[in-house]
Amino acid sequence: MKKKILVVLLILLVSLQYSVSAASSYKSYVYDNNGEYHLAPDAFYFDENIDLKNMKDDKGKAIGMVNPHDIFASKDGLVYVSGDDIDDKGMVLVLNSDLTFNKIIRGFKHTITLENGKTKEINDTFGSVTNVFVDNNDGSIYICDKNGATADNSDFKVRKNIVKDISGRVIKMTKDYKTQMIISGVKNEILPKDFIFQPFKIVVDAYGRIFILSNGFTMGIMEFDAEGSFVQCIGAPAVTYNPIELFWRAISTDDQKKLMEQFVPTEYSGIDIDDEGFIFVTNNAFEKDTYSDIQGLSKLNAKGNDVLRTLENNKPYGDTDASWKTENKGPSKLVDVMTVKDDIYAVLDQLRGKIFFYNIDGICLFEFGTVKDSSDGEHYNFVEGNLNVPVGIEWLNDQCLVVDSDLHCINTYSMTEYAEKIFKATALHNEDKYDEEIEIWNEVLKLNNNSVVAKQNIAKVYYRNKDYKTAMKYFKEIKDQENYSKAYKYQRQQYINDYFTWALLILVLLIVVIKLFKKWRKAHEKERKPKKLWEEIKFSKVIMFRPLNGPWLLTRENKGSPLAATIILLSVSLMSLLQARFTGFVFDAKSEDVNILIEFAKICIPVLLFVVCNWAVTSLMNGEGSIKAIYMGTCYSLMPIMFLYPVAILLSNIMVQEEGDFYTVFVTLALFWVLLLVFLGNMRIHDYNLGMAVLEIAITVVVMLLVVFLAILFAALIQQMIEFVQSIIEEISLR
Amino acid sequence: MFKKSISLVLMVVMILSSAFVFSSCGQIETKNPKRPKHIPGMYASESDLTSDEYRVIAENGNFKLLFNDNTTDIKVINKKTKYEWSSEVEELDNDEARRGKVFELWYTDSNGAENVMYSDESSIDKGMFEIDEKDNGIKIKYGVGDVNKEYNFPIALSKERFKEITKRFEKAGWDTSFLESYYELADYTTPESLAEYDEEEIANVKSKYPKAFEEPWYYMYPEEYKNYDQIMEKNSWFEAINYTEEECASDNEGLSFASKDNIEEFAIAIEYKLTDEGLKVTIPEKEIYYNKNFPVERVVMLPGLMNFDNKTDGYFLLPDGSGSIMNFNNGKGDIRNASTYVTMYGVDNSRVVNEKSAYYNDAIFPIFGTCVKGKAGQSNSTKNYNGVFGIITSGDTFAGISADNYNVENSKLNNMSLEFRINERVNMAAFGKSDDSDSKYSKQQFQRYLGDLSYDLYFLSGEDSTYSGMAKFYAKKLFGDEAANSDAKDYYSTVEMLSVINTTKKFFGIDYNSKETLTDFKQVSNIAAELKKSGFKNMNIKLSGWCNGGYEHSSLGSIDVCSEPGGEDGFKTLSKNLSKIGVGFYPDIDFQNVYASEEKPSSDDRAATLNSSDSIVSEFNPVDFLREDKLSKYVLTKDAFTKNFKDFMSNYKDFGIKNVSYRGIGKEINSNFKDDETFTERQDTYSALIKLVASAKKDGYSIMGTGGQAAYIKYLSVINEMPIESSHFDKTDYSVPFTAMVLSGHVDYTYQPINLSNNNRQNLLRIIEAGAGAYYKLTGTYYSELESTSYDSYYSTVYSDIKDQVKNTYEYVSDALDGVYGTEIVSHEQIADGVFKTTYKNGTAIYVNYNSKPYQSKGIKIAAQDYLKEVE
Repeated sequence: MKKKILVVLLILLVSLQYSVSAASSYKSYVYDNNGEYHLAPDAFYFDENIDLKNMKDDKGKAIGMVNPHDIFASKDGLVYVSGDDIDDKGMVLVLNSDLTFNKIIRGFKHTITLENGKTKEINDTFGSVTNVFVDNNDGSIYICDKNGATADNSDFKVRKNIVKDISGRVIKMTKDYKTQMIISGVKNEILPKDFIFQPFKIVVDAYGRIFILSNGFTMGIMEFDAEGSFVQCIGAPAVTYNPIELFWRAISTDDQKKLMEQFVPTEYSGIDIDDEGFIFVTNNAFEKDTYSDIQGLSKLNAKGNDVLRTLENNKPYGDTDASWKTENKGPSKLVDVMTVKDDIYAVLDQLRGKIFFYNIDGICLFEFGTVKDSSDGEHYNFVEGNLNVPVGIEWLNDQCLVVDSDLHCINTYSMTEYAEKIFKATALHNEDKYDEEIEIWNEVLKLNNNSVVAKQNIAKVYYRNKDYKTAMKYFKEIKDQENYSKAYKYQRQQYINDYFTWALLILVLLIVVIKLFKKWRKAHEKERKPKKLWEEIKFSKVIMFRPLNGPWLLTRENKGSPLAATIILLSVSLMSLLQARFTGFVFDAKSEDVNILIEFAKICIPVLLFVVCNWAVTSLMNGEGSIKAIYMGTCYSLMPIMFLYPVAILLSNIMVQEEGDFYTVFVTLALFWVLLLVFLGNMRIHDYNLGMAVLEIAITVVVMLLVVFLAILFAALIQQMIEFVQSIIEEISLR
Repeated sequence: MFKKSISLVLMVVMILSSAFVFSSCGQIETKNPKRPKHIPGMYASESDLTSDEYRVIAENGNFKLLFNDNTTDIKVINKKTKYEWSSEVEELDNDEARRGKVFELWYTDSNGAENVMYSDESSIDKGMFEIDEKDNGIKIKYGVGDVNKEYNFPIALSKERFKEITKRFEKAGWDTSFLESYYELADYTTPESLAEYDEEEIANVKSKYPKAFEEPWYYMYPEEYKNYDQIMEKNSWFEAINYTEEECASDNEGLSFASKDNIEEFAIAIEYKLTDEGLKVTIPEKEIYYNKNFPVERVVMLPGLMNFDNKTDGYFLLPDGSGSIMNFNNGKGDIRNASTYVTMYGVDNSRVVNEKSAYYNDAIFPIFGTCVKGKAGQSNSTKNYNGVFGIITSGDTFAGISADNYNVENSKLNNMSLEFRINERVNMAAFGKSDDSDSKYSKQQFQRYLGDLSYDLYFLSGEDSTYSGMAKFYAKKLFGDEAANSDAKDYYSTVEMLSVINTTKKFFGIDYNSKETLTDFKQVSNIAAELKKSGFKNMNIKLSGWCNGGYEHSSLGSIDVCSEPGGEDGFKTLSKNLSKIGVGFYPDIDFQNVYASEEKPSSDDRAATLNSSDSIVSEFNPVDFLREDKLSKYVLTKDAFTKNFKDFMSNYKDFGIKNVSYRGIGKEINSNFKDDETFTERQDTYSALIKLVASAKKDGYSIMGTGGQAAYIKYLSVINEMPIESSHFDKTDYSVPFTAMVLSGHVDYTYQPINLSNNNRQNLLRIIEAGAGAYYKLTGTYYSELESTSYDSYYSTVYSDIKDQVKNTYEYVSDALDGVYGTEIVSHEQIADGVFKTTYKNGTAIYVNYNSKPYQSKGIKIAAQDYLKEVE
């Protein structure tokens, strides 16, 4: 009889775990260094689903965990799932490393002091168990009981005496589940007066320091010492304001400021600690308008400083750029983070059920996972392995485990060959085995021609092996400016070594040729007739170097003409376009995206706007210049750009990033020169004294701003108008 | 100046008003049904939902059809096994079965909210049905909802009659003050009284109550009492004074007040016919009626027929992808609330689909099945098995199958049911509201489906009622007497090569379209030769992106072979070279659509979605799941794609190639929801496409298709990307290669490209399990900018890079299927979790083990993630 029951039990145990081998139901992708996504091979495939509600314990009873909160895998191979049952009573489910049932903890014993001074040992149960952490040193278990004091059980009255608030506690147990310590009712002068201790995430470092995230607490991570007394708060999420926000704050009343603070996102959502003691925390509170200010993930050192390496255009916060238009809208909502191995870490996006893996540099390695599908607009289809409300991730035996609170299950995902290779290559990289590393990366590249990380690492190996040219090719493909610049620096050295004599020779030759040409020209000068337009354009030289006399001559003695001014304006625009297009890769990785219209508009519109506004202002202020004079004066003043930009373009193509200052100097110099010419020219054209000129220019600038403001307002109104008409048409045609 | 501005204002007014006029007058009459003269009303028949009396309606050698006159339930008894299939719905924790629940009508009300009418509550319980017995069957007509909502009380009363009625109520002991509050004395006889009302109101009254202009009458305004219960209540009041129908008729004579527009009134008929193999169920389209304000969207049929309690053992066969098995009581009933739903042939692109977050195989066969093994714990011999296998014969393109498992908390039993979506709806944000807001209005499709809805139920027993048996049964239905291959063939493979693609390049920030050749015709021929040499014996080359602008080609009025990869001469040489080395050559085109990057067809040729925008097929962004601009193509109307097809075929003739590959055939069926005479239902598109493919077949072409929807099978010689695994919906248990079992021995089929499926060992095992051919997608040249084009999914296709991988994977699968490829699969079974056995006609069995642990049992030992071949 006993045997029979055992057989039945075994069947039940087996039948509640199903494993399949499905073609994945999601499209995998990776982000490149510009933050654009490209499709990629699948890195993980769904392996197994473990139903936490219907899983049977050793007595054949269903466990009934309907609301799991998190998962933790200890180094000794046990897996701890924390969660609540259908009556909201917390429990810790302990699984073996093959995810079979091991033990369940529904409560603990501890001694309390009663009012009359006597002590009493009671059997206590959990409120809501939100997280478990196991210390690798001694195997002691830390359990977060988020609101243990509110749990409804027979000992409620007793417990009420211990903690008066609706608060939680952290229970530390020994390896064999004996209560060792309880942290509860935390009070400290640096904590807010109305602070309620509701621990929901916990990690412990190698020195026994305990780091706890408390629900609704916005001052960062609470640090406790090994004895459980509160030490300090570290790593409060930094809030940065954009200038507009700062402006509003400056002019708001105190009441308004209070209201604003409610939008400040400061609560951490998930935490993990790596082998070196760095703490990773995720942050998911964001509003539609303030997202750009949020840092989704931080890596804190012992001092609480963020040391996370990120890329400029591709932050390791999941999908940072996702649209707000869909049902699953907005950027990723990161709720958990796990450190994997070889400095690789992963974050969990609850919004769209995705897990993103990054390497130490913050490069996106791969991504997988998705949510339910409702592509027919009527039904929700769940494919095996799809997530609904994932709450925790964990790494176990080279598998990724994800806990979903709505589907009350653990999903396991296994690596494909593609992911295995990336992991292997990363490990080899950390072991400094470059030759083996490059081999694997090449294999990765065969599986995915788009792989950024493979190209980068291959390039780095070439760089190390002093093949700078090949390294540069790969760095350029993945748009890695910094490393390209480094490689280029050496490559340039090689060029100089190789071609220095030749270059010198050519230079000398060039000088000789120019000298000869000048001589020849002088000899034939008499024969040439001076062309009027050319002379007019050439007059800009006078403007450039004699900014006080030049404009006077220009407008009063007809040394220039509007046609010449227009030619100058257009050529300056063209020069600015060339500068945008041909600036070296080191300084501008997106030069191919330059838009011809925008580049022209960038020069022409401010100039024309200035001319019109200046004319409007000066005609009221007794200025002597006509609109023609102002136009000519302004255009002629742009001339320095024609001379300085070519040098800047040339420099940008031969310099490396460290020498970037030279490049910036040239660009800034050009701008400064232009502004000076415009100012002085304007003063002379209108025949103002210095003070008057300053005043007049200031008013012109204000008028220009006003015009821009009105133009924007007008455009916005027109746009609304168009939308209005469009929606009317749509509604009429469809009704 | 002043005149000018006036004329401008006038013009704007005219344009706006004409827009209004056109929108209201220009509507074309839809073909939605008019109200039939007769709908069975209340108490048309005797009804007693507790009645258990059945009588035999039809009988033949195999089956007996029984009918319950009170509940309209049916039962089919299999004479051989004595098994009884009943339409009664068994309910959880309820000994009494729910009788009379033979259909559900789901409809939307004026607020766009979805409602349902169950046949038992809303029709049969009130006796609203009529029975018509026929040869070997029966037809039942149902009235559903507020049919014959009749006013059995006076709407108008002259002064005298009012007094009379008041007296009668007094006599019956009623307080008559209520009469005064309901009836109002209306006086339109004198000019003074008329002056109180405006013209519009008078006209309205005149049309409805003409008597009011003769002398003052008492009226009650029935528009205010639309509610069924309110009217029934008033009827009951007047019953108390024995108010007769004749009185009612004379009192209300000459009044025209009833507006039937707002009555939730429906009619439907179901016809059953017993055949030698089973039961034919038909819902004649003409007899479905609904009020235009309450359009019926879905009809759920016989929900009780495949409904089983937790004491029964068996499984459902779902048609998702290749087919999947959902065991009864598999414990997955409570993973979540929604049941599993399989949309037949995937989602129509012309429906408004904005988001797609998961990818899975679409159903290609319009079938479903149930196998009942008997009561749990009974002997597990297949002899006791009983099964029902359904084939949807008409209306299949908008059928759906929903299935769920036993769950106590949601009081659900194991159940599967079939539904037809006869109307599509789109919800749109109302004017001036953002997309987020709740105030939406819905729009129905212009015209509903005009063919019958019908399906056949086949009752099977014993070995035949397993899914293997069903596969054999379905193969017979599909191919008739055409015998399957009995000898094994060389292992088959399709190698697709992509030639010209569209790229976007930039000139100083201005985008311009450019072309890039990924494989030129010489490379195609070289790669083919090399593969042939390395052992690809039975191989076809599918060439895409060869004409009219490349992969994203324009309409096919003329064929213009791309010059970059070699031009027309190169193309012809390629064709010759390939035939010389014995490789089939299938140039690939898509005649159903025109790619947006190449051409925008005229508005007459573009199909429309439900919200009247252009119907566009495109990819979905994996980041936020929204539609994106990638590879988007316009769906053509029926006339346009027919013309496109004919143009292409007449020009294609000149190339002398007798093979052709149609890109979307077998996978894409798109409606045209335009609100005019070009409106085309999905079913019509489907039959039009089938006709075209059949005509090409008749002209002697050998055709390569994608996906492999049932009706095309007869005409296709190769099906690429055929689903050989299910959609893996989470409530199902495991995938079965039902499609492969049906097609094996008849057609060559392949699954997803091997080189793009991550070279996952499990994908290879999947191919071995289903006896499928190999499929590769290759390109000849590495293009470093590929990732920024629409073709970033070709991340591992360059032949020179992956040569070895192609050869190795090919060898692995072809070795496995050597000696059985091309013959019929006779059975397939699950040996253990993740271990399957496929048996071929010659007795060879192939085991596959998907698990990461070796499998060992009864003398069989299969390595982890490997296969084992057992030759008999």
